[in-house]
Amino acid sequence: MNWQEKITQAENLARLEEIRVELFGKKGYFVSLFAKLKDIPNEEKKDFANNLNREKTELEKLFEEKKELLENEALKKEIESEKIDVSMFSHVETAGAIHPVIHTMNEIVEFFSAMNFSLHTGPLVEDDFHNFEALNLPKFHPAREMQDTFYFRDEKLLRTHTSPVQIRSMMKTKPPFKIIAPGPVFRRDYDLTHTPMFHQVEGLVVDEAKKISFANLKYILEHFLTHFFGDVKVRFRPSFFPFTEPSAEVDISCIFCNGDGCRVCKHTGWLEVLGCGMVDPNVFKAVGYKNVSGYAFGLGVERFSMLKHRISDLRSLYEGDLDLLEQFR
Amino acid sequence: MIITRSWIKEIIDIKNDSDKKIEDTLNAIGHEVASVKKITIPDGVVVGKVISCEKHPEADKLSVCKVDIGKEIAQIVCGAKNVRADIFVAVAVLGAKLPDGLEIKPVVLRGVDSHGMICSSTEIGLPKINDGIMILDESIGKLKAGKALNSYESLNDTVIEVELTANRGDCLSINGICRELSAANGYQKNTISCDIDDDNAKGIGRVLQIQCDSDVNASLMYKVIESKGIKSNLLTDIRMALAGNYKESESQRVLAYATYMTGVMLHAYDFDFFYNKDIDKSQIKVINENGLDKIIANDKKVASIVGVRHENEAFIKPESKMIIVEASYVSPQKISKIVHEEKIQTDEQFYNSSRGSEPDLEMGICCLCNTISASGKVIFYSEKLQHKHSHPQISINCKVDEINSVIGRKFEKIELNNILKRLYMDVKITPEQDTMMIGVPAFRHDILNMFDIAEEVVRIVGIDNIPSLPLNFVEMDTYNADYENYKLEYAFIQKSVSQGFFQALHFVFDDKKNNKKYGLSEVDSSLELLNPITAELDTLRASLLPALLESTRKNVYKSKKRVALFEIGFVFDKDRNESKKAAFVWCGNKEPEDILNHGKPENIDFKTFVQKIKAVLPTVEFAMLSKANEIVHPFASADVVLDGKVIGFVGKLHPKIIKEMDIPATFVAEIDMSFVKAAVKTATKTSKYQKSQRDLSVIISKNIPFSAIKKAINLLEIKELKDIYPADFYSDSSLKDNFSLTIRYLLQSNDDSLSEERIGTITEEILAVLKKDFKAELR
Repeated sequence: MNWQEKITQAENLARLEEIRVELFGKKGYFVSLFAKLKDIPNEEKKDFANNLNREKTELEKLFEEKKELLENEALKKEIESEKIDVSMFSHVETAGAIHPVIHTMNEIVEFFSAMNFSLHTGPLVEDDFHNFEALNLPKFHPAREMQDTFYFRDEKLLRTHTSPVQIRSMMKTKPPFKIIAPGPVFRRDYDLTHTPMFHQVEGLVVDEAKKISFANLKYILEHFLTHFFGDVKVRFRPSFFPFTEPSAEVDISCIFCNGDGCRVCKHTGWLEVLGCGMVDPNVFKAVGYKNVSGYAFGLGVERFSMLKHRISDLRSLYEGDLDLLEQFR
Repeated sequence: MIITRSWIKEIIDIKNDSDKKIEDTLNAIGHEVASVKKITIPDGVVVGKVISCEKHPEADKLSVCKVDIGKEIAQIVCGAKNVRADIFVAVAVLGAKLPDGLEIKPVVLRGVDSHGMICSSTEIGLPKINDGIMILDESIGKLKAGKALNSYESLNDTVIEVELTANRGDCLSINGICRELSAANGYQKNTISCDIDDDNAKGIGRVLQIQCDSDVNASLMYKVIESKGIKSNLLTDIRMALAGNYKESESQRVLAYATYMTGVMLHAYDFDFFYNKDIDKSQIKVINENGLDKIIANDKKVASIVGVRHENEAFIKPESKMIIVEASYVSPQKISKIVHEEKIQTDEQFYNSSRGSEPDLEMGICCLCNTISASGKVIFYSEKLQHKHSHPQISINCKVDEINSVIGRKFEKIELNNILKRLYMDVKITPEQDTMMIGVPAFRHDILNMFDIAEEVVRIVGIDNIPSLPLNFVEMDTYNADYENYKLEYAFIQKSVSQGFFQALHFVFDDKKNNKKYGLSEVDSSLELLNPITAELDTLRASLLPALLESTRKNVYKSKKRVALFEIGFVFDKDRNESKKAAFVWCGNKEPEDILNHGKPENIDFKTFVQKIKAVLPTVEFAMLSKANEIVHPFASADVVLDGKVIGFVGKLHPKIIKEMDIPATFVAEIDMSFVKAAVKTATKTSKYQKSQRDLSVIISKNIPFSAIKKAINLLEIKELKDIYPADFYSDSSLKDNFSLTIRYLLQSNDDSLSEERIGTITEEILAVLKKDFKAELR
């Protein structure tokens, strides 16, 4: 077998290395041949050396080619040997999840922040003035029955809505301003569709008299609702809240049946999602504002979250149930 | 508030407008429709006349009736107690299919053939009005044997439930709703009037006298009727049952019907209750006591407080031969305030009167008298007696452009004028041409200012016809501390989630028992909740952990092997001050089951848990627990320290709780969020030279916390010392209370490569302090 054949037929890198030593090593074929050079007659030396160099170059080239080939094969084998079944790892989840209500609340906050509203917060334990009186809800007003309140022994109460934050903000700032107030609120009601604690986001915009109209309120809420729910129709219905006048409730076309009527929308095709209106002059009076105009709106975060994420049981949101929470990873 | 199609048709002409149109109109003008239901009496249910009714020969409780059902006389066996001859009844003939699925077929009942069924109201889809079968009368229309019952409009009705807002007391009646529909859709509206006085009737003045103090606030109107009781009829019964306002007593039912129809507060008294034998008449006295008007008899017995409550004693009785009916009106604001302040007991009439009942008393009396005379022969004494209190009329002056600026659309004066007139407002346009003087009708208690007028315009025009306009707003600085905290908290939430925790939410309420059990502070009893919703939620929570642990237990119960929850929320101290905390719980497996851990991951351990807490709060340190609590293991827990302040604790859940809850290894942490602030990081100069790492192993007492060792070494202020931490430990019985601890430290100079000599010096320094402070020995 000549050298060419030996190199070409080397089955692995180890064999090739043996050949390299035999061929190019210190005691190898070429070293021994070059050693013979001194015994060659001078006139033949040049040809002998040239031939030997040519042969060496050719064999070196062949060797390198073979080496690369074998290395590639070896790498390929190694890579193949490291094959894993990646599908075995799809279920390995290590992340937790933000609670859907908080996630939804943040989505709402982000929208209004981008609309240049500033965020305000207030205490949960409130007094009658901030929660009711200043909001045009005198003690004997029948509308107080709309909200079943938690009271304390010292006549303080748990806020029934985020609206007292409006009052506090108005009493410490001067218009014009645009604010939102997100946070938990409390009503003494506990059944399939009510929990004693839930979350609201309240919005309030105040500027000088005659600057703000119902048309402006309509604009921002239409924009917000189509941003949040996507392609829905928005309907305003006149309604009543003691702190706004005129007041309206806002519906979106049912996202479950596209307005055709289903169980969720009680076959009306509409889902009620928020309340709003122009700030009642009595509210401005209570905080000492004169010659101003403004609008306000309030929404229940749980409702938004449940509609958007198709959550059917309100109470499950407060049970720390991982079967529910894991779906929001 | 329930209305029905046939009912409103008695007052307004809705032409052929569909139920949908009525529903849409009500929604558009602010009366939310909660439901629309069609009553459908099945085909094959017809008017039948019972010709004869005899006892069933074989069964005591059954009767055998011959019933004229138009095309034939049918023999029907009936089990109702109230069946008798000569009454009209609803008969389901052979082949009829009832709403509950029953198909009428010929049957033999105890040997007697029965060809049909005499029905009760509920069997054919109407509400319950009595026990037994429904007896028909002509209040529903002319009765003719064989006529299909669903051809009577008042039975084949549409029931619409309207959710009225608290300000619209004027709509708590059929007439009130009709007023609204007529204003919105221009329907022709009838007025309710009566012509019942017989020319020969005796005048009311002969039998009744009223005596009214001058400070009485109520308006009152009286009529006297000679009748043995007050009779109701089928239509009244069905309608009041549909309205959910069915009264057992017939007279009460009729009164309630007339009030429901008109909104006027109506009462009926026993004539004798007021009888004064000195003048041989009944005498009604009306006095004002502490702001409320009382109706009293001659002997000072109180019959009622106007708009507040009615005393049972003065009600008409079954044996009453003479009846006094009363219509009353009192300003809702006045009585609401007094009743609330004085905590006066009320009955159901207060719901209407405090929201604003109808002031048109004549209409109420007329409707009542019409209803009474429709169901039986009665004698009305002619004329009425009344006390008129002049309730001041509200008049609002406003400019057209004020209304327009609230709404955001330009209305012409004439448009506004037309809209307001449809709502029964009296509009005058003053010489300054754009000012309107608007007289508000007495029944609209809710309209007090220009904004209320704007709302009326919005209602009638429809919000759909108001444009959407962006607001031109001066640019404002919206960044503030509240927003900064909000963002910080949200970032905290995101970090917690990335460590595998699921955010949970629980109520701010807790069980007082939990405060005791976990040794938490309790809200001072003088500041405690007055009306908790349940016994398990009877106080404000002092910690987030009890509820998180309970949810953990439930998840474990549901076979969850890894329960990682966290919550951020408010807690309250003994002075009921609120503060925000974050709490974490990790229970069971420390990681998901997978192929590499052979489906058996290890349980959560201290290191894994605190690493997660460190990832959320990178700048905190852990120190030996300074104050034991009932929640965590006293010797496997730590203070969480930030900038030298203890801001919470972290550690193994107390073995007692683990055992009680029957859950696997659990670690918890609770942190006071008020200390979690966005800290500005400051960088120190970095070195270009290599770091040298050295280990120093010493024999030292097990009771010395590493933090103390670190502190002592740091006090040496070796400027090349970049980091120091424990690397390994070893203990066996020969070491007794000591153990071998390997301390690893990293050295680096900013100025040059550290020489072995310098490194040696530093090691000597460290060893010296360990020997001196802790009696450590080089191993």
